[in-house]
Amino acid sequence: MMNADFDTMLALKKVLESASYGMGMSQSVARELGTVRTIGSESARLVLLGYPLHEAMSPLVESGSEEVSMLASLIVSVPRSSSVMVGKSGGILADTLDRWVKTKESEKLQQKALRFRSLITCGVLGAVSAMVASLGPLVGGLDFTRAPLPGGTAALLYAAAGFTGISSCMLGLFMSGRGFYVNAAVALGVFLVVAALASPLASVSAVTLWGVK
Amino acid sequence: MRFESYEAFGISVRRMLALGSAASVLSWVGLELALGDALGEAKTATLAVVAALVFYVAVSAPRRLLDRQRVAQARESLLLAATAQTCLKVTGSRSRTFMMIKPKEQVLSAAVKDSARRILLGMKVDTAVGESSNALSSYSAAAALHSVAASGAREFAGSDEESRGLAISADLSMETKLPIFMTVCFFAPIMITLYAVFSHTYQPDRLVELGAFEFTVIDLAYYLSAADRGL
Repeated sequence: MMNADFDTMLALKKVLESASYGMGMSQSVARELGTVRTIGSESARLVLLGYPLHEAMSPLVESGSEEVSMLASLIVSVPRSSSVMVGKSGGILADTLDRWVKTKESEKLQQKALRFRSLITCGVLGAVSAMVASLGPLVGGLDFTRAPLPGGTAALLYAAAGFTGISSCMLGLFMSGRGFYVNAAVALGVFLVVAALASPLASVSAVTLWGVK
Repeated sequence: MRFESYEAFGISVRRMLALGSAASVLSWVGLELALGDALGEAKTATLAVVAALVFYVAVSAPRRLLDRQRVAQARESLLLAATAQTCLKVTGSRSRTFMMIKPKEQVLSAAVKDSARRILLGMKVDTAVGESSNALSSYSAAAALHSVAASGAREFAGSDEESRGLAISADLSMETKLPIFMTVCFFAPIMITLYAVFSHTYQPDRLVELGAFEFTVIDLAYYLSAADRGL
């Protein structure tokens, strides 16, 4: 399926091409944008309803895509200049903007790979944190002195889950924005599983090694 | 430190340093209250590092703002050049062209409006543009205005070298910062849990203080890594 921005850019390029051959800009907009399934069809509808070009093109000018917005802004500038001239200079601009859209698309693909990598990192983080929090008190309790062994280490497990949650949320926020909860869910899910698996080992009581030969 | 960003925004260096110092002192006091005694003897060194980072974040804010502005202007300069060329060919007048073009980016729009005002006041077009374009941080945007003012209708080549260069620079910066941020996010909770284990810190209030410390560390790393992306 074609990217919506590509679709709109292609239609806007056709609008500029038609204009450069002498067709009126509003007529070009109505003809070329009317067939696309994106936000551009709304502009074509507004032109056919008799709205002035700058009002009809406002959905595209204010669209989220910077490239589409720039090309639409150029079309809107026609009443101040000439549609033939705008069509000619717009062709070169459209090629450059087309390249930007393609670059953005490849960045999106890279971003997907990075997101997956961050999910793996969160999963490993959850596992390592759970192991450290479950078995750490046992290892930390191997004290060769007569110091009393620490008791009540349950809070550490909850705290480690909290530390992992904070970290994975921030990593998710950095990599996926609003989808940060997926990272947190993966990290905490793996944490719970590993903590449950390690709980029999963690329940072994440590003994003081003082006097052992 | 690039002080040209301070000059671009008309900020006094002394004031900015004072602001940075105030921010770092506030962060020191705030973190000292939040941490309690959880970090033991390492507390003073940790507070000093965090305060230094906060100082850097505060004083380098204008530079990051200028970089962001430069990217926006470089991208808009393409549209500006195309529109200006079209208007110039149609009207044949450089002065009228400056009255007609309306860029979206705020600083660029202000520079064009200022040029138009100076032209209306009777100044020569190239002199007016030369004076107004000093406020622009992107050389592509300034070049687009100068080409209209100086020689008139030149062919629009759709050149985007500056924005491509800026994009490559941002990518390289991200390639460096992303692994650092991932490393911080991965090791911070593990190290803090290990610290709690080996210092026998199991009291809930002390663990909450360690959580506050972790949040501070990751938050600072997030800000330093994400600043280039405009987050």
